Amino acid sequence: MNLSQKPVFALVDCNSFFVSCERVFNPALAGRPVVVLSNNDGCVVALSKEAKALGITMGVPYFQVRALIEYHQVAVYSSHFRLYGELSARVMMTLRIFAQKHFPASEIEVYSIDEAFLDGSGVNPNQLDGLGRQLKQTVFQWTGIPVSVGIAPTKTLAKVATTIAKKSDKAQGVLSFVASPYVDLALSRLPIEDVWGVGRKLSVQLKARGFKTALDLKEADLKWILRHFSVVLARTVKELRGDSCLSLQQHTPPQKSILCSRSFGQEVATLDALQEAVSTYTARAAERMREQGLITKCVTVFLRTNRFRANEPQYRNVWETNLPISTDYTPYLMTVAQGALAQIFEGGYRYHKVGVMLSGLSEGSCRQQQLFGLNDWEKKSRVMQVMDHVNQSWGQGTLRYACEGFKKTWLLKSAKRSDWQPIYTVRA
Amino acid sequence: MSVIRFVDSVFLERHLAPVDSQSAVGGLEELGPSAIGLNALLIRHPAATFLMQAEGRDMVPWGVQDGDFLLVDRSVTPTEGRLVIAPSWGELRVASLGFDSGRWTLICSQTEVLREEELSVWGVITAILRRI
Repeated sequence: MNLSQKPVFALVDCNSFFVSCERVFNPALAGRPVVVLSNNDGCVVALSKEAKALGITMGVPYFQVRALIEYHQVAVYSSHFRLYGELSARVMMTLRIFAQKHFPASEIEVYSIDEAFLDGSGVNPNQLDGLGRQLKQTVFQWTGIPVSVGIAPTKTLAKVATTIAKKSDKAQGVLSFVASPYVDLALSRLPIEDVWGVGRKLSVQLKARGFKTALDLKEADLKWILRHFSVVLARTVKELRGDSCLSLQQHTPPQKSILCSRSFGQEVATLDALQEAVSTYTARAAERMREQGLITKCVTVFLRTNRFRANEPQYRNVWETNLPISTDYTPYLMTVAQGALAQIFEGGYRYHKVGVMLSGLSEGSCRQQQLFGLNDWEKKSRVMQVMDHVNQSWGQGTLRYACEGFKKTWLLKSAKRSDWQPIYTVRA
Repeated sequence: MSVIRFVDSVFLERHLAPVDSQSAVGGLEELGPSAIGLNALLIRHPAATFLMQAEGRDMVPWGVQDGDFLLVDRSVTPTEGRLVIAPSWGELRVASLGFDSGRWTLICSQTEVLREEELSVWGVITAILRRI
């Protein structure tokens, strides 16, 4: 970014992304209420505005809205991440091409599967709105995905602009806060918990002190915020004032932890099945960790029963093990994870979810182990390399540890997945 | 008179057994830059191009046969006479885009022509691929 230019950020956010993906190849879904369920058909993770209008909310357990869904003939889909990933890549590629052509800075930051920031500095402020509309139109034509665009001098304000662009009939999906007299009005209508970077916990504390809207936060005294809260919140205040503190990040920072957890297709009561699941998740997490050339210092295992089955006995627990040395050697991590599971497993419960987290990650290899007497580190690291290579080329789980189990009765269920394939069939 | 010389098919089978184009040995990868690159030849806008497969015989007179692979480019502006993919009664169909007495039409078969108030085009077919 050129320092002599005022920073401008355009946030592009896909509208109900998972629903829009399902709609691209299925025109029958246009204008109909649609929901997408989490990868275990557990709860609603995406919904169209028609579904929202029926009173269905984000995150609600499927069984709670099942009757409503059936009554209104809402179209229901299981998450289909391969489809979403493919369309996301197309959206991001379209944005890159557009940025290169129309934005002098031509940089983009992919923020999540359905959001990206574009560097709009150097563009004539009068042209920002028109460019935003052209961007929205291009993404829809090329990929079939509808997006909303918010343009502002800071990332935090761009988030606000996008939220309003999405809801407002007047904005029609695009809103620029650059040189706009309406910023304060917009902020006065935005509840404080909807400000980017203000979580639920923080918003409770802020509300207790009389801050209700984004405008209240913008007008807060910076020194007071620093004294009572944090540098992070002070930065948010500055960003709301139009003072850019967060720049475009082209490279994602290395992960601090890797989590592998899933809900079970059916509740699991036996230690055997939990052991299999824990081994599988440890293997997956370790594989993902090695992909990034990282080693771990801490293994955490957690499990819990289904909190939505109120009539069943409830239990949840977590066990954290600090390793004597950082490692990426799967069999060792599995032993540690199994030890943790044995600590927290209680009989007599039907478990719904179990997970493994590797944290305290740092860059490195098995080499360190040599110092601690594991002198065949080279052989071990070669075994890991071969396994990862085979699994990458032949599909996940081609080579696996026997303790991962073979039947996997606990595998997740996804009954309503759309039958999308890379090659779509059309009538001719 | 032209002569076509056949290589002994047993010889071919023994020495040029079909391989998975993705595999490390004998696959496209191994040829590197000199491998046949149909993508580069046929796809101008990768972000906007989709691969589909035709099913049915309605569009045979327009050159689309049952089982044909279709490259569909959404970034191309549809014009009269082009083959397109268009939504019709809730499904995506192959159609020929026409312009008749001031109105756009979608010809989906020899008997079926759509002339609704609002027609939309999903994408423009830019290539037909067929195994023969």
